[in-house]
Amino acid sequence: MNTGIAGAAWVLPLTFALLALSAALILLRLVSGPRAPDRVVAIDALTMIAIAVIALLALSTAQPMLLDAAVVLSLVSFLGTTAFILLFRRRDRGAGETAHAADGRRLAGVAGTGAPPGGEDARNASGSPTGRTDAHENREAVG
Amino acid sequence: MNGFLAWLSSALLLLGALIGLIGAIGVLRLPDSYTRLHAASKAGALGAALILAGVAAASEGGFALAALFAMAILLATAPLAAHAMARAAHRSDLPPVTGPLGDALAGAEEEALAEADPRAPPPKPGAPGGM
Repeated sequence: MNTGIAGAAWVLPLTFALLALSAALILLRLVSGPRAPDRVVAIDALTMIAIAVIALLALSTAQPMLLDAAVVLSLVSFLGTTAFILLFRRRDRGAGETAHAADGRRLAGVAGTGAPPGGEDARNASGSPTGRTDAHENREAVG
Repeated sequence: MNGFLAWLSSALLLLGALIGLIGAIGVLRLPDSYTRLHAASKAGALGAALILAGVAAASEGGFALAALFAMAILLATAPLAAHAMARAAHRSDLPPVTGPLGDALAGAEEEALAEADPRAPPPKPGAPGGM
């Protein structure tokens, strides 16, 4: 199948090199991501790079079986991202007051409006985690 | 025609790799989880889809159909995952880095919560993005 590409002698190695560079940059973000969503984003991007690499391997080794691996990897990537979402939602919700209060202060500092800390505490005290979940479901039913 | 498909395949492969590299630079350098997700989902998915299209253009028959099928699956699932990810991050109170207009989704959610439950406390007076 190598004959299907113009300039296969340099196009395929260059493409592999660019994808390896992308994977290295995303790995830096995966290692240094400050919070859980950054790491989930990095894993998602890394899986897309892996799909591209598998497709290129299928082309350069002329094995159509590898494209099935690419299909399965994209499906598993979707499921894995969804599972990670559930994980960090539950952990952030149960993480307690410190992270939440820090986020509120950071939001107030970024927006420059100076939200009072009492507002954050009142909204926290108004509902347990299950109460907040019910409120979100109501909101979806309305909207 | 075969020569045209060969050149098209080379161009698609290189373009997909370049767009994937731009997305990776965005994932590394953008300031926020949401903007990183923006770079990863749009540029990353477009890069992988272009590479799969290049593989489909370089091959023929069932090989090309399998590559196009993989591209369709990727283009169907990647935006879904990115959307769910952004909504879940916002609901777990991860603040976005906002511009002068503030966080419009937070304002809309406060308003919808107040409509759904009138006994709930009113939104914060200093909440950004009062919609």
